[in-house]
Order: sequence, then structure tokens, then C-alpha cells
Amino acid sequence: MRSDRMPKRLSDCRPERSEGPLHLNSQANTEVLRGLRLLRTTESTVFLHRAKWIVTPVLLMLLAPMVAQPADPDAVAKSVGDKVYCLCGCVTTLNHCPHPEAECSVQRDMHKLIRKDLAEGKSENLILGDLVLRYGAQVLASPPAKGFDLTVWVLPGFGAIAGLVIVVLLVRRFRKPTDNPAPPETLDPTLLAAVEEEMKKVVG
Amino acid sequence: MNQVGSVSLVAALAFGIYGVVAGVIGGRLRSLRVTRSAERATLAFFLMITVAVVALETAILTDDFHTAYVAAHSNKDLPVYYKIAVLWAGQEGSLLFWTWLLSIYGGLAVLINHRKNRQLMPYVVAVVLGTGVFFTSVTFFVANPFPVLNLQTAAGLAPLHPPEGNGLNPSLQYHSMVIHPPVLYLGYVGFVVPYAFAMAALITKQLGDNWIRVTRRWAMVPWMFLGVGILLGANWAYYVLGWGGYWGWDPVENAALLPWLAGTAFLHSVMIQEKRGMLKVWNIVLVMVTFFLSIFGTFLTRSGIVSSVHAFAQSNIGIFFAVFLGIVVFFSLTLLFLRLDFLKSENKLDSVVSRESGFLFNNWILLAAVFAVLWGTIFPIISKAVEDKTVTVGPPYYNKTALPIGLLLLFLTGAGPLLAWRKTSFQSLRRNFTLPVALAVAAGAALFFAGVRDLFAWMSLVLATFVAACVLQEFYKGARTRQVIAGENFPQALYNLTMRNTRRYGGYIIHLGIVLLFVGFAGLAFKTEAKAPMQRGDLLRVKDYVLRCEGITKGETPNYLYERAELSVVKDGKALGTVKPEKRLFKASQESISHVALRPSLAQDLYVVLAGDDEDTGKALIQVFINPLVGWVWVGGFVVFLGTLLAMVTSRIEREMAGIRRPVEEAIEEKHAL
Repeated sequence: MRSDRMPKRLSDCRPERSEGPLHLNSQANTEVLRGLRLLRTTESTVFLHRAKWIVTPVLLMLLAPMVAQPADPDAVAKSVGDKVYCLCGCVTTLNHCPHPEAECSVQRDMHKLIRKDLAEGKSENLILGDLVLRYGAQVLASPPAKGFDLTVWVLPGFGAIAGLVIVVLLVRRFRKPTDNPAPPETLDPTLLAAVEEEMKKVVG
Repeated sequence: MNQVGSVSLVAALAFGIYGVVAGVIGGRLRSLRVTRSAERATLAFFLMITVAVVALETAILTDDFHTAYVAAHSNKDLPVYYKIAVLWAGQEGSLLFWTWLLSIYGGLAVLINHRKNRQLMPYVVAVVLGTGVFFTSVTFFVANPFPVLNLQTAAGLAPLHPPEGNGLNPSLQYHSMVIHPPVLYLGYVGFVVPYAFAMAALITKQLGDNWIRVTRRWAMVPWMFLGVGILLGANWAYYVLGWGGYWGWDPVENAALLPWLAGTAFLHSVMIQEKRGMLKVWNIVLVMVTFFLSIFGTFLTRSGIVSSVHAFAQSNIGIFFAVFLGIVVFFSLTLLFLRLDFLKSENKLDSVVSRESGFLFNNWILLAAVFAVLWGTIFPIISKAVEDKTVTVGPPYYNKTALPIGLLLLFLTGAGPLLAWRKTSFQSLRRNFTLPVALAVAAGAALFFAGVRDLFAWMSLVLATFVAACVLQEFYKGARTRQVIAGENFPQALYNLTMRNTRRYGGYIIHLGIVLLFVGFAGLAFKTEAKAPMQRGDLLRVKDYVLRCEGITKGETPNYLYERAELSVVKDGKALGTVKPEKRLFKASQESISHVALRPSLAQDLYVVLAGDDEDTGKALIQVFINPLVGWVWVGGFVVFLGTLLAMVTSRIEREMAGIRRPVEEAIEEKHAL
């Protein structure tokens, strides 16, 4: 760990982004609508439209507003303990260090620092910043999304999207031409009776 | 004994090399005699490795501290069952053990296929023994467990016989550690057989669905062992590490998860090839990836290239593994490219909304999970190489990447089986999904009003309801149909339905097990913990429990010194008896570890740790966790295990199909009779 790389402030390691509510102006709306219209009416879009009674509750469930809990010092300490590693050599987060606290001086010192900061009324981010200042950036259980370390966060997403594109391309390539319709859903009643007759023979 | 061990390793190496050469020649010349000779070499290889294992175990059990490995990892007063486990407690023993399991798999493959798959077998033997030769070489030349201790004296080297060994790592002295490594290794090692069959199929151009049918069970066995092994490891972490949890996204935990995920993708994807003759290249790639990841996992565990809580046994063997992995990749890909023409798809996709595309998405999600976990695991190495900077990639990363993927996968676990092959109509979707979606929505609302505010836990439980409803509905509908058609009563119909297609319904039971696992995972969100210095008479209140310290005692066994707290537990005014957490200081290694006291139940576990003495007060530091739903993780694992066993039973459909296929296969075998 080279000291010139050590972040001086927490904002260096965890950039805070202010994200205002999403506003779409009318021009953007028109663009979106045009884009939507441009989409070919494929089987899947028709399907999605017809299946709105499934999709809507599922989406609602996914987006169900989860009320944030108020922060109390114990919760902050726990949250910090999940976000930093204990540097005693146990290679686990501070909350997970397998050593008895009374015998692990590193763990104890880290807890002391956190308690001191909490007593001073510092926020979680400031406490994390203090830990980074004392122990270096490697104390963070995950690297900040900045510089080269950004790749650790971004690449899984890119990988997943690339995989999805491949799957979609495969599906398109494997698709039969539409003039070859799939077998009809309703079968000829006489055929159905014959099948049931056969089934009885096999099952019985 | 040590000479016997060393000599048998050399003999195994010779048999291994001979078997590889004889296998290839037997396959090329189509010579039954040479092939049989290669197969006998596999059995001889197994025998020789067995002799080496027996030699090392004898040294361990007879306290032969003249042997360096025994002196380093055992001690006289270690109980016998832990002494047996010393075999896999260190680097050298672990590698020997790995090789032994490989030789067992190889021997079984030879015996089971004595009259079957004659064209594939010579190359299967060559690939299995090729891997065996690599591991035996590493065991013999780099990490040999048989060297003895010598003392440099003026007169030259004198044999050193220490009276006592260093002892077994204390954290390994727990009952699930006796079975966790062997089970996990059985998982890692076993993927060599499906891989060998895939390679043999590529070499012999036998790329129909025969190799898929043959390897299905060979892939399910290691998949099952790996899964059970991972959960046994989690169980060990829960009971021994004393932090109240069981999974920490440690690199070595990830290393075991990776081949399991890839193997899961393979086991699903092969069904498309069997039913529809599609995705042939993809299946070969998946079996290669699974094998690669299982060797890679061994490499991560053994080389110490990433820092891990599993730093039990490491040395500089990384470079050998890297070279071997390179050879595996080169060999596999070259073969694949040479055979691409033989791997054309036989069918087209009828509809986007079908079982086939369900499986494609399942594969996509599983491999996205593999990629995310692999990337997080190796990122510290990459960061060190690129920026010369030490970073840690831990739980926060995996919670943001792997958890959403896991939830998506859980959803597919329920939705996938409800999609029909070829094309699913809108009506059938509505028929199949109405009840599960309604139940999931109801569960979602109920949980929200019950105060569940953790998004991951809430979604896990909602999706778990959805999937359980999907799966149980499948059982119910199938049994009802049989009831109507065959006139059986419901339990009879349910039994016959399951036994008629064990693979399908075994699979459903596995899916139910996965649901239970996620219920257990969701419990993590509701964990409560408290910590207090305590002495006799002190009370500690945690949630609806009250613990009262009845005293602190100290004592010793031949193996360790202990400090034990005795706490009586009262819950909701009802006495539940006492719990006795301990802190143990092992005499041989002078290392200490907590011994958790646990009062488990399916609703919640009371988990009590004696974390040493408090610095300020001198009292015993007691840490208490209330862990809801953890028990479901173990129950879920057991259900997955049972489902896998069921899916491996020969189903009635399979027997009927085999009856139809047999005359054809026999004719083919006869034609190719060497």
C-alpha cells in the first residue's frame, strides 16, 4: 500500500453523488414514445402486453417502497463492522473476526476507534474515513468505485449484459421462421381420446 | 512406512503414465487388449495411491513424529477421529488425498463401464489418469508427505524423533471438519469423470446425446458432494468461528461455489440437448468450465495466492497448477474447434416463451453468478498486478452483485419448470401462474405489514412462496391427473408420479430445498446480537431471552485447557436449561478458539460465545446472537441432498427407454467390438 494512494478524505473513496429525482421533459417523452413505436411488435411484446396482470403485481412487489430505518449507534457500529475488514490476519470483516475480542488487539483497537467516533457523533461515512486514514484503503471490505477499482463494480454488470445479449442473439438465431407455426393448443377431440386411451394402457 | 509410501507414489506415477499412453494407443488402434491394459493400469494406480494413503495414515495413527508431516499436524493426545482427519489437514496430505479420491473415481468409471461405452473408455482412462499423473507428480516432487525429520550434527544427519507433534489446527478440531473436506473433495475431484467423457466424445466424434446420458449421473454425484460439502463448511463456520454466521464470501468458499454454479448450469443445459438436440457446443463448454473451475478452486485453496480464512495448508505450488490449467484450456479448446462441425444443432427454437429459452436464461444467470463471484475473488490479484495496490473484495461487493443474481435465479427455479417445451401458450401460463403469483402477492403484503423492511429478506421470502407454490402445484396436478386416469388414491398417485419420472420430480424436490435455503438466508436480516461482560449472578437480556450467569469454571482435558461459562436461559418466562460456551486453549499448538454453545430450533437459534475476558472489568465477555431461520439452511441442504439421490434413481420411463435402446446399442457395440 503506497501512502500516496491513500485517500485523504472519505469522499475520495466513496464518491457521493447527488441524484435528483428523474424528470423527463416533454421532448424526451416524445423521443421515448417514438422509440417505443419503432419497436417491432414481436411475439414477446405482445406476450408482455397480454401478461400485464402477472407483470404488474410482480413489478409492484419489486418496487414496494421499503421504509428506511432510523440509525442508532449500535446499528451504525454494526454497519461499519460489515464494511471494513479486521486486519489481524483473519481475512474476515470486523464483525466476523473469529478471534475472541479480548484476545485480538487489532479488533479491539478498531472497535475502540469506532466507539470513540460514535461518541463524538460522527456519521458512518466519517467513521469509515477515519478507519481508512488509520489503516489504509485495504481496510475497506470492498474497494471504492473509483479509478481502476471501478472495474470491480462495473464488470459483473457488463458481463451479465453481454451474456444477455448473447442469449437474445442465440434465441433469435435459433428461432424458426414464423411461417412455420407451432402446434395448435387445442387438439382434435378424437386424437385426444385416443391419446387418453393409450395413457390408460401405459399408466394402468 | 515412509519408504513404502514414497515407492508406491513412484509406482502410481509409472502406472498413470503407462495408462495414459496405453489408453491413447488402445483408442487409436481400436485394440481391446491395449484398452483393457490401460483400464487395469487405472486399477493399479488406485491400489498404489491407496498404499500411500495407508502408509501416511499409519504414520499418523502410530504417532510417528519422525515423519515431518505428522509432527507438524498431529499430537499424541489428539482423539483418534481427529487423527484420521490429519490426512487432509496439511498441504501434502491434502494433495495425496485428492489424488486418492481421483483414483477411486477412475477405478469406478472403469469397473462400471466394463462392457459399456467401449469406444469412449480408452480416452476416458487417458484423461482421468492424465489428471492423476499431474496430482501424483505434485504430491511426489513438490509437496511430498513422506520426508522425515533429521538433525544436522557434527557427524552428519541424525534422525530426529520429537516426543510430541505441533498438534492439529484447533479450528479444525470440530466434528464436521472430519467430513467437510472429504465431501468437498469428492465434489471437486468427481468432475473429472464427466469432463473425461466429454473429451472422449470429442476425440471419437461420438457427439450424439450418448455422452450426455452417460455423464448425467457422473456429474450429479460430484455436484451433490460439492453442495453438501459447501454446507458442511458453512456449518463448521457457524459452529466454530463464533461470529454468528456461516458464510463470509471468503475466496475459498467462493472457490467451491464456482464449480457448483457451473455444474448446476451444465445439469440443466444437458436437458435441452437430450430433448431437442440443441446447445451441443455449449454443453461441452460448460463441462470444460466446470472441470476448469474445480481445478482452479483447488489451486486457489492450495496455493495461497489469495488471502483466506482457509490458510491451513499452502505452499508454492501455484505455478504447477497454473501450467496444468493452461494445458487443460489449450487441450479442451483445440479439441472443441476441431470438432465444431460435428456439433450442429438438430432443432430450432419454436417460441421465445418455452422451456428451452427458460433454460437459456437459467444458464445466463448461473454464468453471470460465476463471473461475478470469480471476478470478485481474483480482483485483488489483478489489482496487485496492475496497480501494485492491496485491495479487499468482501461481503459488500457480493451483496450488491451475487444477491440480486441469486434472487433472479430463485424466481426461475419456480417459473422455469412451468414453461412447456417448444411453446407455452398464454392460456397455459395463466393456468399455471395464477395461484403462485396470488400467493406470492399475499405473502408480500403480509410480510410488509408484519414489519419486514429488509428488501433482500422480503424478496427472498416472497419469491420462496412463489417457487414453493409452483413446485407443489406441479406435484398436486400430476398426482391428480394420475388419480383420475389410473384410479389410484392420492398418496399412491404421488408416489407413482415421482417414481415414474424421478429425474423431473427429484429436480422439483431439489428446487424446494433451494427455497428452504433462501428462507434460511433471509433470516440473516433479522439477526439480533448483544455483548456484555458477565460474572456469577449477572443478567443479560436479548430480545425475548434472558441469560443469567451461573458461574465461570476452568479445567483441562488431555488435549486442551478450557474456560467455561454456565448460563441459564429463560425465554418468555420459561426456563430452557443452561448453555455452556467455552474458550479452549490447545496445549500442543498454544492456540485458543471459542466453542459456541447453541440452542437451535427451526424458528431461531440462540448462539452464545465466550469471547474471552473483558479488558476493563476482568469479567467474562459473553456474546449472544439470536439467529432466526438459520436451521432452514441445514434442512434445505438436506432436502437438496435427498432430491439429488431421488433424481439419480433409475426411473420407470428411463427403464422403458433403455429397453427400447438396448438392442440398438448392443448392435452398435458389437459392430465396434474391438
